[in-house]
Amino acid sequence: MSNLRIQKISGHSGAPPGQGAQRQEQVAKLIDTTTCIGCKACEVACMEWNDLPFRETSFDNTYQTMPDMAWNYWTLIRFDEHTHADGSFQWLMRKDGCMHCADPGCLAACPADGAIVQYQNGIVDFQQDNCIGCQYCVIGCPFNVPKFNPHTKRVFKCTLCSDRVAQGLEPACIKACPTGCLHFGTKDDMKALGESRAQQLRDQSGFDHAGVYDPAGVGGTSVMYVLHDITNTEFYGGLPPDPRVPMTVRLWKGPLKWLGSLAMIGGLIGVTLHYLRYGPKTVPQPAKGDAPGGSQ
Amino acid sequence: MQRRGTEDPSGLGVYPNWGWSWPANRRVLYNRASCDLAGKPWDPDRKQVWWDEKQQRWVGVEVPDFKVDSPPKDHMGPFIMNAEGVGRIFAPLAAFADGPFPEHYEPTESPITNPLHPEQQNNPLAKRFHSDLDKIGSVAEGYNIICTTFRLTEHYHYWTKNNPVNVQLVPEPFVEIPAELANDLGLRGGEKVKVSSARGQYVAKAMVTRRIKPMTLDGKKTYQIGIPIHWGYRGIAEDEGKTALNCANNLSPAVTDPNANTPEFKGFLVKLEKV
Repeated sequence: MSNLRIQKISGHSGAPPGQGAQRQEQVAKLIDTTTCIGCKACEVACMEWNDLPFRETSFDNTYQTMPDMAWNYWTLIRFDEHTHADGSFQWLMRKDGCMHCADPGCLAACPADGAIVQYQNGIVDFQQDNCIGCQYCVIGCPFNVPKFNPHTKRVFKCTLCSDRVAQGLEPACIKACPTGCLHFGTKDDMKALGESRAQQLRDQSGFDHAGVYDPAGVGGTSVMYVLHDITNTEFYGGLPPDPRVPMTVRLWKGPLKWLGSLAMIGGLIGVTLHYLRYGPKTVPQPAKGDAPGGSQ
Repeated sequence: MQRRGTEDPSGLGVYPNWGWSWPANRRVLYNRASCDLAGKPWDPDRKQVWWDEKQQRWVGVEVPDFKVDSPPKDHMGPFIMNAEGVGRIFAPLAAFADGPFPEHYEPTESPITNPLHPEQQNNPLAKRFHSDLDKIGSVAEGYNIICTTFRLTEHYHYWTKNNPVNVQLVPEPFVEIPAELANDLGLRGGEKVKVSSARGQYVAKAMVTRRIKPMTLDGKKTYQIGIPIHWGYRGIAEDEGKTALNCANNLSPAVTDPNANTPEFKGFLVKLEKV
């Protein structure tokens, strides 16, 4: 991981260590939902590469592996049957997982020094060694991605295979995809590729509203989607049309942060004044002859 | 990015730059046959390939499906895959067990009479077995739903039902049922159904879906259901007692086509009921 440089860091005073020492290209994953066949090779690759343990599932009237992602299940294809107003039908499949936002709500919300970092290549990574298990990241994420493991009290999510990317490899899911619907490269290249695919869908396949999902509300993402219909993102397993970091997190970690600091400083001042006014707290001495323990 | 050129140089709807066709991106097989013996297109308005005397080779708006430097005077036949070099009206006698011409037959179990020729419903050379188990059902007996068995991308044959990762992806057997049919039966997704054919039965949970639409066959509304084959008697779900110990192939008939010996897994008749 030595060649991953940290760009943003949670709960840390001062600049991230090593900032500006090296320039890195922002990387991105492009998911073309129009060519996904829902085979779940990406899910298997993710489980295998990250050594995620078996998780019991049950039949739920769908091809979707489980209702939501889990601490040991970082990518999940969401299957949706959608009938349009004109009676036409689509079976939509979207590979869900961490979006690796440029402005990550999880990182903004996290109070633990270095538990969440954003590398200069755009990957947002959880460092479970530093995690304190407070789950603020769960609240901060507009995509409902981070998942808490109640046994280890740590939060987990997709790492964009930061270990592989650091060594110049593509993420495991990209490598496993048999239809080529998953692409990996620089953010600029992936954006251009996505836009040209969307253009093709509009011009040649009759999807007039095809577009690339790279939401500005979180500063853009390092995981982008090509959608048949960018105006109805919620058809794709509830993909939010305009995701934003929750206002409570923004306020508490931004303009209102001084309130917390003020309360703490006020407490310290109060303790000091109390000491100066009343002196140290004394423990009443037991009367002579009374043996401790009360034996008579 | 895929090849998506919409150019159509011949004006005949050939689109040579859209996708790719095997081999060598030829779009019309044996396109040498579009020219007369001298190598000139039969119809000058609909040109595909032609002999260019100057270059001494076959050129055109299409890839010539021919030996490009073989001049017309050599009289090489255009049907290059046939030893005789000319087209065949019928297949050689030994090629197919059931005759030289393509023909449509209904499956052994079908809800309709063969619309092409009612006198010959099925392939007369289909291989059949004649044990007590090889019964054939009919709509009159109540088997009025078409059943197809199929495979999933998440499983491989009958092996992966023992592998935790595959079982995690698709944990249990199911039967795909069109939403309209489920409504008729008062059936909801996840409820158990029993599928019966003249030969056996299969119990699994229902997957109610709008992906399978009812068909209109010979004027009648007909439903089709689908059963993935990957479960049986032993496996993770089976050993945990989560599934009925049954096998989709108990439903399908052991009737096979005379050439490839493919059983009729894709079209046979069943009844469907809620358990």
